[in-house]
This record gives sequence, structure tokens and C-alpha cells, in this order.
Amino acid sequence: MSETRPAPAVALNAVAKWYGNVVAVNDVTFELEPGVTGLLGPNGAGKSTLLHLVAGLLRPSAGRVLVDGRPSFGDPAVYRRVGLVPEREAVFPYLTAREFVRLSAQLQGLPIGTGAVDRALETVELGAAADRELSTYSKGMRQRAKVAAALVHDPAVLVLDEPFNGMDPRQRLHMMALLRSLAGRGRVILFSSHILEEVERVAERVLVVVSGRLAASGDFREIRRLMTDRPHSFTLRTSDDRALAGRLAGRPTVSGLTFEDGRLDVRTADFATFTRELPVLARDAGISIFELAPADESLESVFDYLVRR
Amino acid sequence: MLGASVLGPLVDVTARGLLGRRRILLVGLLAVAPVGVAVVLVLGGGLGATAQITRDIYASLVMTTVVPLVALILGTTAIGAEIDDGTVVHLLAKPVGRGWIILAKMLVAATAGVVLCGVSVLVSGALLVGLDAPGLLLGMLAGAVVAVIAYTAVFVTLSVWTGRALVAGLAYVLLWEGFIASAFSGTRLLSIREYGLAVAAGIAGPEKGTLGSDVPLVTGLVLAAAVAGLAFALGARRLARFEISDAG
Amino acid sequence: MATPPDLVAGSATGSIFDLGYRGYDGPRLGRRHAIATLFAHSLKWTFGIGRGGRAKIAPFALAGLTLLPALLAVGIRALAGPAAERVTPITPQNYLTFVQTLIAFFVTAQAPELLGRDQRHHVLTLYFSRALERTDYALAKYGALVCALAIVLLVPQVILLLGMVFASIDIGAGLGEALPLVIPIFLSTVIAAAFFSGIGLVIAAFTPRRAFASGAIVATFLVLSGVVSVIVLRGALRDPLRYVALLDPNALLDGLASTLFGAASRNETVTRSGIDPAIFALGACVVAVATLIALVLRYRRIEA
Repeated sequence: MSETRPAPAVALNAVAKWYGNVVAVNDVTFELEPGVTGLLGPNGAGKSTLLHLVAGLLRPSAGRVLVDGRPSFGDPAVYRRVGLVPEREAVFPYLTAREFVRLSAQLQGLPIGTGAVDRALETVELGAAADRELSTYSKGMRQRAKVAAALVHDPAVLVLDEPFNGMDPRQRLHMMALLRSLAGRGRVILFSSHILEEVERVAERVLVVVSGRLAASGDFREIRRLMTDRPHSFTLRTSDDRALAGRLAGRPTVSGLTFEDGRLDVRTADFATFTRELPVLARDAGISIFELAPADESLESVFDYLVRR
Repeated sequence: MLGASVLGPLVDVTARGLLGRRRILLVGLLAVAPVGVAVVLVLGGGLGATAQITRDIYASLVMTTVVPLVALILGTTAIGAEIDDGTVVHLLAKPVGRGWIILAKMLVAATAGVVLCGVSVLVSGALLVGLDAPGLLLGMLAGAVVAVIAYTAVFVTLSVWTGRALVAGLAYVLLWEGFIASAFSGTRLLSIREYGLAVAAGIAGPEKGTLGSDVPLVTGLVLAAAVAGLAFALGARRLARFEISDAG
Repeated sequence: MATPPDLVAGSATGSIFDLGYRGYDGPRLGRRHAIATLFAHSLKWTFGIGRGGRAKIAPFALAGLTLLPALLAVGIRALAGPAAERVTPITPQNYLTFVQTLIAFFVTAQAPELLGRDQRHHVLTLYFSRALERTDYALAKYGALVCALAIVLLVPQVILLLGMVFASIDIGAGLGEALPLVIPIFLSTVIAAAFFSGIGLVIAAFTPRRAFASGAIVATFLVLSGVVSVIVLRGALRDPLRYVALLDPNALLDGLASTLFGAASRNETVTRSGIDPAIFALGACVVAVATLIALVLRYRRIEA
């Protein structure tokens, strides 16, 4: 397998998908770069629909879905560059994992005997159980078999729909490491999840989808910073919390203060000014700051905020 | 995109899926029915004109019930089962021409149907008339083969177009071919059973007896081929624009 | 009564309760109630009641078609008078034979509906972990379909009977004609419903896919009838092969009807086989019971 490649463009432009009166995806525009992008949203938000649109399995009702500059729908050739791991559990139960991955390889036109099948199975750690029928597999093993089948032709773009479903923690860690390593080699990875922790751990960029619309995209810490109309929260540990709290209470940038043993929580509406003022205040009062951490930069709070908007 | 080399793997996976399960039992039982009838009749003894009996069984049981139902079950399941449970996505998300996929499905279903029905017709016929009427046997075989191929092609395409292919196919066989086409001679040209009977009568030649159809041999062959070809084209076209329907 | 929630923390002015799992110690309705509920639910399900409009199309359309000949016969009789008897071939005695195809269609459409969904969505685990036994499930489903089919078949026959009574010149004479038919009608309908339903249910119990089950059921009816009629009509059969005729559901139906009504059989298979129609009637009962046993056995062993 080659180590790096020029990244193909996956681009969505004002894409919408509706079924009769129900709009599943509404005016979504984004581009994917090499690296891991997480598609995050509550159930029913349209994540699967978006992934199927990217994978050329649905026709956009409006807008364009481009892979390598060409529409993805109705063009089987796009699958040379794209690998899809669908969410539905169903695989061919009468095939063994090896046969399933081999079928994928054959349908990709890979010549026999290159060892691609074995490599793919090794990558997902299914080498030992590869000759058992898929019907005997657990849910997590079937997921891994699907991933192997999607990876066998070394696609430049990998699309995974809820890939961590049914995996135990160890398998999940392994899969996350796998995705990160693929991204490190220049692949474009797009995966969906409704579990924040998964996206937080793997994705460099996040696309937040709510009710079919793109609510936010980019690095989630940066998104947080952009949400200026919501106060930021910080947690402070200092040498004299009470005294500092007293000083902060008088500042107009501070909109809330909470006091607890060993911890001071501060809310501010003006992030920039506060971060300039705080060190000055502390120094003038002779208080040492041991720890200053953002309390709500987690993806959860970002997500929470976006969903409620 | 890839050429014929994908046909092998596609046929393989289809064959394993289609022929390995419970439905093969049903299809096998259907195909065995005419043989069972022949066995019972022969054991009962005292048969008169066995050739005529053979023709009656052929026209009323084989071509009316066994062949269409075998083709229906094989044809609708060849791709229908995979569309139903979502595994078809593993075939669609590959750089494979949709025509090859449809062709593989039709090939497997038709071959299985031809084998089952062909053996059924030959064995039941041979049990009754022995080898006295080879033309008749050949004719019946040819007719069944042509009908099976045309039926399976239509039913495979039907399952790409609709999720209710089995019901639609049943309606076609029972209602259309059962009542309407046999009632009005004008519509005989639209019945696959008539094509099969036409071919059977044409090939059987002088031994055809009461077998026959308003439709001449060549017309029957041509129409059957046209129907199969049209079904293939429509199926491939529809599959090329297939949208996954999935609860998100 | 549910056990009251436990107090987690309390004081004079406030309390916190534990609203976790709460047991139930009160009276329970028990197994018979469960069976009755499943039976009633399945009966309604067969007619699409409580399932939305589309589910009602098939059963009501078939019921309507079944009703139609009776209405027509009564209508013609009312208009044309007693002379019409020679014109309308439909009488209470041959009614079931007349609608035999519709009976098969009703079972084809509805047996899979009754059994398919529970298999497909793994609901059986839920059923069997309650007071309901596996046997009860099979019995309730069987009873429901038989009941539904019997209702569909009895209504037209009752109408025919009423037509008979009111169209005759003397109500008393009419009643005298009609009353003896009541028991045969009832018995023949129930037994016919039972063995047709039984065949359909046994087949439907083996696959969660409803369309496939429908196909298998209709194929079974067609092939059984077709095969047997060919054999009986063409072959010169000695014993014991003659008894193949007993495999034909339509022949069983006709034998049943002619035995109970004391009329001659009109089904070729019955007449040509030379077997006494009473044997067919017995065969019908045997099939009804055998399929019920098969259904129970299937559900005893099905994986839930």
C-alpha cells in the first residue's frame, strides 16, 4: 500500500434529500480533507442519510455530492476510491469472513494472490477466526469483517456508519487506532456516531448535524470559541480562591461565580477580556494560580448547545 | 469498470445464497410433484393413452403451476432477499456494472429453475410414455426451459422494481395468466405460459397432440427472448439508479 | 398493589424517595386471561382492526367477495320467486364448495399475517416469558384464524337461509326447510375453516417472511388440488392408491359438505375416486386436528 496520496475531494454543495414531505437532509455544504472527520448528531438527525449520499447510494434531491469532482450517485466507478462500512448488520451469513473479504476484493478487481485479503483481515485482527461463517460471529466481529472488506482495496476515502456499534472497549480502541493511522497516511475518513466520547477521541474535525441541517463544522474547540453568545466557564484552583473570587465579583466581564471546596468556577461572557484581566488581578492580589481550565469545552457542551439552539 | 471477471464471484455468492436454504425445499417439492403424479399413475396401472395423460399433466400441472411457481420463488429471492435484508449494499458499493449483477442473478435463478423443471418434465414424462415419444419429451422440455428463463428474468426484474415482487408475481401468474389470458385470445400474446406451450408444441412436431397454443413456434420463441431481454435491460437500468432505503 | 416507594432520606419538612424497580404484589389475571387476550387480539388482527386502513383491504375484500354470491342469490330469488330455484345454483348446501377458492385465498393472505410478525421481530420471547405457554400461543392463534374464517363464511350462509325462509310462500314451511340446515351449516363451516386454516398456519409457522409464506401456502393448495385431480381423473386406480384423493383440500371440503347435508357430491375427485364422501369428511376432521397438533409441536420447539 502506498503511504500517502493526494487527497481526493469529497465535496457537498447545498445538498438536500427529501422523501415526499419529510426532509432528511437540508442544505448541507462541506468538504472533507485527509484525516478523521466525525459526523455527530442525535438519532434521526440525518447522519445515515448523509453518509449514504456521500457513498453514492442515494440521489440528492438538490445540490451536488462530488467525489473526485464527479457526482457519486449512479457511477459505480467511484467505488474504486471509496470504501463503505454500512450500519446494518446484515452480511452474507453463509460466507466465512475470508470469503466475504475475498468477494470484496474480487469485485474490486484486485488480482488474486496479492495478499490483500490476508492483510485486511490482519488489520482488523480477524486472522484467527477468518474461516468461520459470518453467521457464527458476534456483532463486533461482523463489524470488523465489514471494515476489512471495505479496506481491502486500500480506498482513499473510507465512510463508516456507526462503526463502533457492538464493539467491546478493547475492539473500539483498536478500531480508533486503526482509523487514526489510516488518516495519518492521508486517507479521508468519515464516520458517524451519536456517542460524543467516540467522536471526541478519534476525530480531528467534527460535523454536527441536527434535524438534517449542519449545525457546526470544524475543530470542536474552535467551534466552542466561536460560540460567543454563550458564556464560557472556567475552573480555577488558586492559592486563595475566596480572595480571588472577591476580586472577580466586581469585574463586569464576570457573569457568574461558584465557590466550592478547593475549586472556583467562573463564567464569563467575554472570553478575550477575561483572559487578559485574570492574570493581572491575581498578580496584584498576590494570589498564585495553580490551574485554569475551560470547564465546558467538551464536545458534549458544544453539542448540547448546538442541539438546543 | 470491471468486465466479465466479476461474473464468477457474483454467480458464486448468489448461488450459495439462493440454493442453501429452506426455500430450496419448497422449490424442490414443487418440482417433484409431477414426478410423484407419474409414479402414482404408473403404480396404479391400467393406464390408457399415456401420451395424452402426459400432455394433460404438462398443460395443467407443469406449465400452469409448477414452472411459474418455481420461477417465482427462485426469481424473487435471487435479489429480493438481499434487497430486503440490506446485504445488497455489499454488491452495489463496488465498481461493478449493474448489468453484471442482474445477469448473475438471472443466470443463477434460471439455471436452477431449468435444471429442476427440466428434470421434472423428463422424468415424469419418461415414466409415463417411456421412450416411445421422444419428440413429445423434447418438446415439453424445450417449452419448460423457455418458460422458466422468461419467467425468472421477469421476476428478478420485478424484485428490483418493487418490494412486493412475490405478491405481484403471484397476481400475474394466478390472475393474469390464470383467468384473463386463457379467456381472451387477443391477450394470449402477453402470456409467458403461451410462449412455453407454443415452443413445446412446435418442437414436439407430430407428437404434440392436444398441446398447443394460438401462438406459433417462432413467435413464441421470439417473444420469450424479447421479454427476457427487456426484463434484463429494465432491471439493470433500475439497479443503476437504486437508492438504498434504510431507517437512519 | 405496587409496593410504595422507599424512603431514601427524610426529615420533618422533606423526603426523597427511591423510584427504582418497584415490585408488584397484587392480584394477577393469569394464564386463561392471557390466552383469551391473545385470541381476541389475533382475531381483530385478522380483520385488520386496530392496524390502519391498508391492513383491512385484503380481509374485507375477500369477505365481501364471499358475501356477494349469497346476496346475489337471495336477490334473484326475491325478484324471480320460487321459479328462480332452478336458475340460481347457489344453495346453502353447496355454498362452501362454491367459494372454496376464496377460502384458500383468505388463509393465504391472513395466516402469514398472524404468525409472521411475531417471528420476525423476536416477539416470541416476550410472549413465552409471560403466563402464556407455548402451547397456548399456538392454540390461541389457531382458534383466532378459524373463528375469523368461520365468521366470514357463516354470514353469507345465514343470509341464504334467511332468504330461503322469507322467499317461501309459507313462513312455517320455510322455517321447516331451513332449520334442519342450521347444524350442518355450522358444523361444515367450522370444520372447513379449521382444516384450511390449519394447513395455512402450519406453513406460515416456518417462515417469518410473509410474502414467502403466502406463496408457499397458495402453492400448496394449487399443487395438492392439481396433482390429485390429475391422478384421479386420469388413472385407473386400485386400492390403496385411490386414497390419494384424500390429499385434495377441495375434495375434502366437498365430501364434508355432502356428508353433512346428505346431498350428492359434485366434486369430480370425490366421485371418480369411488370413495365414500363420509371418508372425506373424516379426512377433513383429521387434517384439522393433525395440523393443530403440528402447529403446537412447531411452537414448542421454535427458537424464541
